[in-house]
Amino acid sequence: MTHTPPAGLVVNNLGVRYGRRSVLAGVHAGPFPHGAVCAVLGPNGSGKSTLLRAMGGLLRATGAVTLDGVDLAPLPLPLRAQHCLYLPQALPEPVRLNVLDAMLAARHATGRQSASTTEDIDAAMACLHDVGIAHLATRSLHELSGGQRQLAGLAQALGRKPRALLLDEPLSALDPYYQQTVMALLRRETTQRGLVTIIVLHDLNMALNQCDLACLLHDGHILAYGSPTDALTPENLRTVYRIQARVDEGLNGQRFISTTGVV
Amino acid sequence: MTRHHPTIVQTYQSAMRHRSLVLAGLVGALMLSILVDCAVGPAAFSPATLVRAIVAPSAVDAQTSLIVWQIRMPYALMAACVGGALGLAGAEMQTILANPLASPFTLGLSAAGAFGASLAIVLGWHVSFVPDMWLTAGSAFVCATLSVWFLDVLVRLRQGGTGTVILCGVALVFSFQALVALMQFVATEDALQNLVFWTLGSLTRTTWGTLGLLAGALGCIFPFSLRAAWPLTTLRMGEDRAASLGVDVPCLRRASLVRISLLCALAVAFVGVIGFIGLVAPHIARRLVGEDHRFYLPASMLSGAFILSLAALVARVLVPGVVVPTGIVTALVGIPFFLVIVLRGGGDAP
Repeated sequence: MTHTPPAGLVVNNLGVRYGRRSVLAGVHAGPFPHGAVCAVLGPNGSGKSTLLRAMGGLLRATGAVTLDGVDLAPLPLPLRAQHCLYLPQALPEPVRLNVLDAMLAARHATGRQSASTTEDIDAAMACLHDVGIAHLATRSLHELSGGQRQLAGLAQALGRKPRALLLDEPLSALDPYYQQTVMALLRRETTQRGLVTIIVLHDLNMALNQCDLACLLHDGHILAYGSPTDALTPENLRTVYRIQARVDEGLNGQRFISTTGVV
Repeated sequence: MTRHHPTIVQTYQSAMRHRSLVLAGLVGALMLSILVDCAVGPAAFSPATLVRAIVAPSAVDAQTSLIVWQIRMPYALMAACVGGALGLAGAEMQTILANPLASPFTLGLSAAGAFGASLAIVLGWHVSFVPDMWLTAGSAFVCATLSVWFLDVLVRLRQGGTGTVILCGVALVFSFQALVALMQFVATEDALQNLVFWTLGSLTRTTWGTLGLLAGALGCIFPFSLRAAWPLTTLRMGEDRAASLGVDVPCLRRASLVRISLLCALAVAFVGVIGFIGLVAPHIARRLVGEDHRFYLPASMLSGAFILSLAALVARVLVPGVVVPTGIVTALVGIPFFLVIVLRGGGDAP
């Protein structure tokens, strides 16, 4: 009898401690499938960032994180980043570095070679083109807006060709235009590249309408995981966020959550 | 994809060429400044005599050859090497600590070195067969290195961020300055004279031996710095971002600290406290070539070398017949240079 490992990213019995304080204990999450955007939701301090950082290998954690059946925990950081790449909440710093150089630096960050070939430049340009900022390639990061820098950061990540992408509040510093742009980009690239995409969100309506899956985190454990419509019910929102909320359906089939008060 | 973006790739490549030209320009300026440094002094030489003295020492009279080879050359080259070492160390320091105020001077390395030297001078340490000068330098080196490691351990124990490093560094500066003041207070007249050399910074005691050691160290360390250029560039975009791209940040930071402590400790050991260069050279380099560390690191090293070389020149011509301690002149020469570059660049934060 053959056993096929579950496809996608699976978190098994994950635990994280900061000193003596246990932040996450015995978390089981997933499987997060390829080609789907999954929102991780929860109030401030519920452990969303910690979960993502532990999955990305930036925090020491107990338990297992497997991608397509391969345990990522024993892999050294450079190798792990090739499978599963975490993108921090902070935008790329506004330094005097042009976007193309930033792409090349991300590409060579773990390698030994120092010179970049024409293929490297072509690959970087192709990636910038996918993200829609090829025209900014020779502009310096310190001249770009927050939204443009976020796109540059995404291009850096996509340029590393990971199979799973973990994004920590990628929309929180952006205006509505760039929120929609980044979200649309993530949906398109996730489908095209077959990525496992997990994003931390605060915008419930964005999760409801633009994500394929939603995962609600409450006090360090997963309260609900499934399609956004099933997970984001008024009862769950009441438990997790301590808010009174209503889910309505608009004329165009879009759903929206309106908050009517606190519990 | 080149065919889709030919102009952008061309713009990029011409920007790369521009940066290479800036580096070449800095090398040229440095060479010129070293030559002028060799030519100017109480005994003035014509450029022709100078070139002959350098290329074929036997073709000029013994006195000229002696002045050029034994006095002025070591002095001029030492200025360039110390400036280069401080410039490179400052550049790496500002990157790994993500703070534009970081420099060997502001984090207490120089003060620790001065304290080490003052210990050897004031307590009158002697070891047979070892010249006093090397003993003083050795003591300064040990203290400067220890201070970096102390800083590193302190920060690692507290798991602090870069802000903690800077604050601990400032605490070190004040502690060591107080200790040096204490040593000065108990020092004898003679020892005090000697000690002033360290606290003001001076190039006049350079020998080919110390020069060779520092130049050798710089030559050995620089390739390692360049090899870390890509990860250091990634680190500039944020520590988490670098880590998420697979850079082992603690390891990168530790390797960088080893290089910084070697460079600074050697520089301090041989010429005493020279502030300002390590702080300013990185800013100048950033303005000139940006923060791609493949260019930024060499540019910072060359700018540091160039400024200290100019300062060394000014130190000798400022008061006729006297060599003013270089540490005094660096700020006087460097600040106008610094202001021009910072203010011309639009005045935004680095």
